[in-house]
Amino acid sequence: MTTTLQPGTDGRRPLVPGAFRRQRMPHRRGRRRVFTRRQRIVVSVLNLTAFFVIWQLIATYGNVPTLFLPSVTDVWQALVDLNNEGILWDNLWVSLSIYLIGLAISMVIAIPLGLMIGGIPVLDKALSTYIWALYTLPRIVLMPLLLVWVGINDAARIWIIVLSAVPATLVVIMEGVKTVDNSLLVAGRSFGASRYQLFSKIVMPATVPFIAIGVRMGVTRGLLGLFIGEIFTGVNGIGYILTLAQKTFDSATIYAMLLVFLFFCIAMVSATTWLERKVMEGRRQLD
Amino acid sequence: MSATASTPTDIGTPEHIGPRRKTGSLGKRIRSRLTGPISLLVFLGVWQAAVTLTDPDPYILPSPGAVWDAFILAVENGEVWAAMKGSAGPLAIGMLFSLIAVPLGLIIGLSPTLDLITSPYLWGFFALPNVAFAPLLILITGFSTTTSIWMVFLSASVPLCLSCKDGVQAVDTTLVKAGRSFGGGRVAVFVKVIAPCSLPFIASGIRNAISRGFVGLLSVELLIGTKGTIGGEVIQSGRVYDTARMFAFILLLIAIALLLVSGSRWLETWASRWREEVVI
Repeated sequence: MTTTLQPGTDGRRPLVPGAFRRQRMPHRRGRRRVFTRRQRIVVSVLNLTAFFVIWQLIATYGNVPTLFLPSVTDVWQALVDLNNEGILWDNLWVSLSIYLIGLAISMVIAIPLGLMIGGIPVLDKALSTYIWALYTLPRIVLMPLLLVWVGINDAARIWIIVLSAVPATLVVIMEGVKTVDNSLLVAGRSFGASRYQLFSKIVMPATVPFIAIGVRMGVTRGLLGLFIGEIFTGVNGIGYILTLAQKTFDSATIYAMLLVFLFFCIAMVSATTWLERKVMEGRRQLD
Repeated sequence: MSATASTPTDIGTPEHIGPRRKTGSLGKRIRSRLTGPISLLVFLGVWQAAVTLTDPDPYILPSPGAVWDAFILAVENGEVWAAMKGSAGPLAIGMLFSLIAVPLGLIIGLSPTLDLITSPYLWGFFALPNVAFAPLLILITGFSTTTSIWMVFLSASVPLCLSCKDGVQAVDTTLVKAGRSFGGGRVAVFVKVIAPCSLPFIASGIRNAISRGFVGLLSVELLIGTKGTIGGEVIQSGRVYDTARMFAFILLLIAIALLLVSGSRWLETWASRWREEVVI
């Protein structure tokens, strides 16, 4: 069925009535099937349920060592135990506060610096190579150095978060400033705007979307930094629980912590998206 | 190039769209090539100046000369080659295995149902930093090369799969329709329209996968710290406070990472060459 002539779909009748009658209507060709929102939700819920049920079945009846694949109920039990012993929330809180401090420091550094580097060509020429190098560098390489310089403590974790988040935010904002339409700048200049006015009236508003993207990049990269820090300095926080579980061959706890961390990541990323939307809405109202 | 000089592809490009791509004179091109080496020299100069001015403990910050000596010593020992060989093996094997993700991604992209079913898992895997699997993998496979291979595979295959999927889904439907109306069957449309259109996505997926895989490899090496791998050498020298040697291996790592990134970026531009011509 390679050549299908569609009988007049847009109201046009075929020249000879009934000429195409015997031809089957092409089913779902040329157009992708689109699922409705409700269908998506139902399928996702079923899908996840099936996943956990199959996991449980394999773990219980399959001949897999518990070290490799603990059952879902064991993982849940590990989570409940951690909660009862009071380990979970304290350590989660430690990690969260370290993450937020690191992120705040990075944003305070990255946003003004990105705007400056993007706006001032001399700075761009001098610094952008280093920033790109730092951006492409795998962050984990810096961890041994930080351990030597800062030591195994919370400061090392804040450092690695800052080092992960700053370059990611910086490159986006830096490139964003450069995309500002040159004709706007020329128009502004010909209407006699000063350098500062050009910056605050033209460059800043045009760069806001890029700042939003940059912040989101920083948030995700910062999570990576947090995790690297947690694994290498397992003195407190999520990393402590992971290190302890690894030493005692307690795979259920590791699975549980991975799930917790996954939820942590999802929460952080969706919080950023929500914040971004609020900022955008506020901006539209200002206009 | 001045704005008035136009090449055949420029015909019809309105003036206000923006500056044309600069080809630049020979001098300009040489100057742009030189920024890398010059900034490296400046960096070394600042480093040396910092060491001479503040005179820190060599355990904290060794001078560039000391690092160079440590590097030369390690090269003469043959440790550098051994470490590079030890790291390259798992990376190559893991990357080869993760190429399975290309056909898988293409198939997932073709079928909306499959996409709906698999996407929560793929995105979950993608969102979780791949370092997160390191403790689990170390627990399961122990301290061996297998751990590194698994880690490279896990970190590289998921982004590759997602990117191939995106590539298929981003194919312009008018192109597919045109292909069909010219009598292309499923196979022909796939081979002649969908596959070439998603080639840039596959290439960028491979680029992403290489850097992700490298990071995965490093994270395992740095966590385990066995001798005979680059990451392991970094950790070993850190443990005995031989900071100069640690710096030497870290700089080696950085050089390899940058080489891998630029090499794979070249691959990406090579694969999406035809697209650039259309877009200009």
